[in-house]
Amino acid sequence: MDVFHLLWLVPAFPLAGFLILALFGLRLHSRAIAWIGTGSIGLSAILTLWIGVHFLTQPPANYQYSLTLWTWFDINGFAPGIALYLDPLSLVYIFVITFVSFFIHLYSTAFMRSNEGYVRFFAYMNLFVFSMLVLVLANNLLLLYLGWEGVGLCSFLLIGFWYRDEVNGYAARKAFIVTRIGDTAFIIGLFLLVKQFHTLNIQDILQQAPVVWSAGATAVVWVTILLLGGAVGKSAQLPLQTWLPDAMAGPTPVSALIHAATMVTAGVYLIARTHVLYSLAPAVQLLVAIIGLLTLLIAGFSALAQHDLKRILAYSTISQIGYMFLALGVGAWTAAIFHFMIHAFFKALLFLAAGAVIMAMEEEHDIFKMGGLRKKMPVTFWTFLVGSGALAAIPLITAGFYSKDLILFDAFASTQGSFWLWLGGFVGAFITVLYTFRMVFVTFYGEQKKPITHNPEEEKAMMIPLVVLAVLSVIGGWIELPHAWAHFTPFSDFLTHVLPPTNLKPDMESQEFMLQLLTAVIVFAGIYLSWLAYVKKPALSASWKNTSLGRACHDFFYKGWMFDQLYDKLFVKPVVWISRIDPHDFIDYIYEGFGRLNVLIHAGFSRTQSGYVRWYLLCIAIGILFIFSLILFV
Amino acid sequence: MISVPVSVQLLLPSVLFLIGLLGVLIRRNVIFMLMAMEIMLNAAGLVFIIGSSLWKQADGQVMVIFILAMAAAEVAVGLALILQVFQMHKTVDVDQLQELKDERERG
Amino acid sequence: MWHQHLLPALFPQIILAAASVLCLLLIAWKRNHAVVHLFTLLSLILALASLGKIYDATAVDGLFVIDGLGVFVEGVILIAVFFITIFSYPYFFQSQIEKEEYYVLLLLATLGATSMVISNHFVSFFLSLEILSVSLYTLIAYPKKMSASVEAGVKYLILAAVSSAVLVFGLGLIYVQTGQMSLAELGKLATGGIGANIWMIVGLGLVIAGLGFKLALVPFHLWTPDVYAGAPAPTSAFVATISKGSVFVFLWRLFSSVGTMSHAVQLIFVVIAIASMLIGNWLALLQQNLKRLLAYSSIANLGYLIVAFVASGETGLHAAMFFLVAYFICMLGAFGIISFLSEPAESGQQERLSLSSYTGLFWQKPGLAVLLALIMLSLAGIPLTAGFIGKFYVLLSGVYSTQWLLVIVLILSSVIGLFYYLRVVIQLFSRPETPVSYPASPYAVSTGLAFLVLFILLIWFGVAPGHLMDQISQMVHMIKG
Repeated sequence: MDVFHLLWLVPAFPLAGFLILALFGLRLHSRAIAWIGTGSIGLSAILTLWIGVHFLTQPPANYQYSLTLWTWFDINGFAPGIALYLDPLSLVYIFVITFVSFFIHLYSTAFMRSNEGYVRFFAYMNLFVFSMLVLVLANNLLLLYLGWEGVGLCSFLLIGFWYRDEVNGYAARKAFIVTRIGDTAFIIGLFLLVKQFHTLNIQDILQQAPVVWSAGATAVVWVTILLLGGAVGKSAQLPLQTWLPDAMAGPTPVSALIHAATMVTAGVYLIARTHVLYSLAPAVQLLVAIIGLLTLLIAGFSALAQHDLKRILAYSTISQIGYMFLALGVGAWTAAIFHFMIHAFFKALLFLAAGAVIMAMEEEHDIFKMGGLRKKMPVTFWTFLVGSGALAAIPLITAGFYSKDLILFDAFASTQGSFWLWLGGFVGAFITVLYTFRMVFVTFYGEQKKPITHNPEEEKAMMIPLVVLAVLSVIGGWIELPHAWAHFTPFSDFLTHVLPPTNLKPDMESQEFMLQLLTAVIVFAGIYLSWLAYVKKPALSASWKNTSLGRACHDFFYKGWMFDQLYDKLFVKPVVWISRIDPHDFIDYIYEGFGRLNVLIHAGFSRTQSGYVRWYLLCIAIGILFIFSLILFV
Repeated sequence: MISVPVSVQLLLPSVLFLIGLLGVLIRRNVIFMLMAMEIMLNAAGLVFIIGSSLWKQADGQVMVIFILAMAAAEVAVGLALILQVFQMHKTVDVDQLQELKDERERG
Repeated sequence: MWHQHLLPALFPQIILAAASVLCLLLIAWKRNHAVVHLFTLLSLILALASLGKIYDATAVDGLFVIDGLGVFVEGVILIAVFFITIFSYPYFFQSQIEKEEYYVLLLLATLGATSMVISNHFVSFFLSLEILSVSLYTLIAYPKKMSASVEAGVKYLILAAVSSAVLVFGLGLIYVQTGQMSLAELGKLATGGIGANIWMIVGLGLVIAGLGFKLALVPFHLWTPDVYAGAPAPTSAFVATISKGSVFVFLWRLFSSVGTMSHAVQLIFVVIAIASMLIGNWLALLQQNLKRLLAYSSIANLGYLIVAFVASGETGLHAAMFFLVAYFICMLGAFGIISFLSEPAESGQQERLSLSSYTGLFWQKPGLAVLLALIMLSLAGIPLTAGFIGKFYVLLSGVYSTQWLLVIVLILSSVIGLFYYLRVVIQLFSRPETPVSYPASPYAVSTGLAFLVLFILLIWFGVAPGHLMDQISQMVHMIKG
């Protein structure tokens, strides 16, 4: 039997899990809930592995497989189909989604145990995984959009999971509204595509696009900009990045799954999926690179000043996705996807480890109130260290090195790359090292400032995912070696069946070694510097912070380059101002008036339902007269 | 044989029908309303008789018999219901049947 | 002429008629609620089974026509009555009145409805309409100790009898003008052209009014909420679904045989459809009584159905059939839930009507609440429910026939509708301050199973409507005008 026919089961398992939990969850024992919630994802993961092995050994024709489940409906030729599409790109995505989700679910079984709403949590999480799988497996734009909105909804629900605290509700709304701005652009872009090509099928659109549109045509520029708007919103890139740090209000496994590993990379997926369009609009593609570059720098600096462990990681996520955008922007498609995968591993790991730390510290998020956890929480410490190493891209031994190095090299050497793009990424890499090891040293070294009451290291379900993800964060990089070393690039080779290879300028490979050496130097320099500032001489960082310039910089970065304040001034304040000088907004009158009008009409017609039979009869008689008059006078 | 134009023939059932309709609209006593409905139904029957004689067919007359039978059935059920109403409310005034209507507590 | 080989075509009607007589005898012999209930279910299944393979037979003596449309709707009606019968059992379970005759009347009303959808002649139509109506009077007023039910029965009797008279008068005028009472013969005349005689037009107008009353279209709609609210819930389901569906089929047959709609007639239906869609939704807007709300919702839904009717043609008919099935499922489920959650209809006992008494249903009976919420979403036309596909289909039929005004009103009124449907959904899921108590219902297994089937159908026809669409387009074809 052809295993690909079972592809539909991959999203079906989480959906089934969601349905069971939503319908019968209240009556289930918490152990059963954990089994259903985690087991459904586990089944998906195993199936994905099976399909993946099959895909590698006996690939389908052209490395693409389309499975039409059914045609939703077919009315006079308008027939949106429910169809899944598997190619190397979606395979990588579903592999990462199912496996990382599985481990995060496993972790959550212990992490969320003492929470009320245990069922609700797993139901939402399963729904999220289902939506995310639909998003990446969608064969047509309708289904893609369904998944896109589905993950947005789940993100909203899960950020506001602890809804009793008003702040969390606010964060959830902020995330929803800010991403909605992007989504609006996205849906308009989709409409333009459908209008142009009269089909919802993504592959058909991509095949016809180069025929219909010449490079740089106005239409394709608009479409790509609008799609980029959606991607920027979902992936928290400039200028819509402000929601992600606040989204950390959700439970930590949510941050790990949705706001680090999977959903926020949907934008990367979208651009990679529609790479044909971006190749037709080089100007927009350059814009992608610039957005990525600016985002990675801004977010990096912001991370440097944060005190909240989860916020550091949030800014770090924004910054790392910036790298992926940079890669997409210079045409290094495979490098972006490679970094997505590696990032999913180590960032999920970092979040989960951070969750364990925060649990041990009784919900303390401030790293400066932690300290000295190295001895008490050895597993957490070592896995966190591995994750940090990958994030900082320590050469040779961490996966992060291989993926980030590839991006930096391509930013330099690709035909669309340049020295300046490389330099930006290079500076970003240095900052990454600084904030990463600042986080490690402050949290785990020094004096212990708070006793541990309940050590999460006793929870096997929480520690196993950490170890597994740590292993992946090390060995994951070895499937793609730098050009300069050996021509061992199975990951890229696999992906080039769907994504075009990176075009390099001539004679660049010789310089790669040079660049790697530079990277290695700054990594170790950065580690040394943060060791100096936070372990050896803590006074150093304190004294620097006490200078007025230092404090100003710190505040500026701490507030995420004041973007929130800027938007507050630019958008919120004027609206508030207008509403203050004009409390009875005339636009309100229109909406309220519409509402009132309807209520009035309702009241009016409601009066006709007086219960008097003879009045009812009279209405019938009037109706007959009315019909006659229509016949006679028209 | 003197033939009367169809339109003139139809005047009689039309007038009867209107009388019945007015009766239903004006009378509040349910029994009178039932009687007025009978007039309306019989007016309809008359129309079929006219058609039957006009087209020299028996079909219309068959229809009349059905109409009569069904009218009788309706009245039978109607009277039973009226009896029930009278037992409950001690009146056969339809305007007193006011339990079912749109509530009006909102402004 | 009597064609013996056509006898099987009328088996459903014969079975239903025989079953109602047998049922009466059964009651006379031994009065047992459960036995009568089971007997009714069995005869419905038998009638359904006898539908089988007869839809290539054509006319039966000019009175009836057995075509795909008729058989399809017959099947839908029989299945719907099956559900109503299931819901009736727990509803009357603890009732003190004699409840067995209810099933006899149910069978008779079904006989009327199934005959109506295959009627091809004024006589057969009138006969089946009256069988249906007279049974309905008694079905509505069945809990004779409840003043609301009796009141609803009297109101329906007066109004329905008047509208019947109007209808028959109109039919009589058409007969006088054409000399034909068979729809097939009318169709032959129509191709030759029926003169725009004033009496003919008056007749058609009266027929529209009479049928409009049965379909509860504005401005003949005022009886609907009173009757729905007063009648016992299973009867309300019957009135909301079967009596309307069968009349709609006759409406379609009549106007497709009278020929392409004249400009004036089309205009009448456009106005009626617009008024029904808007006014129905407006009336429901702040309604606090769930049964009245459903009544107004059904007015609006019949307005949508008329959009497909005006669109006419093959697409219109298919759209109408699909919409009708989705609407049937919703109404059956909603009234089924009301009857399941209501105390038995006794004197003085009110049914569970007010929306506030459904507050927080989810936290006590999650399954029922989810079904009711799904029904509301389906009525509102939210994607992935049968209601969405039905409405979308109707919308497309309107677009294909370039009825832009109707299309726009359909969309606008759906927005108004969304408001009150969501109001119900919110009510179901919000937590009540004081928990509402629900009766422990007896005999919940078959009812629960029926709810489950409705739930599955609602999702199935929403997610994969292809099966139903294929079935419809296989069976139902445009009737030759």
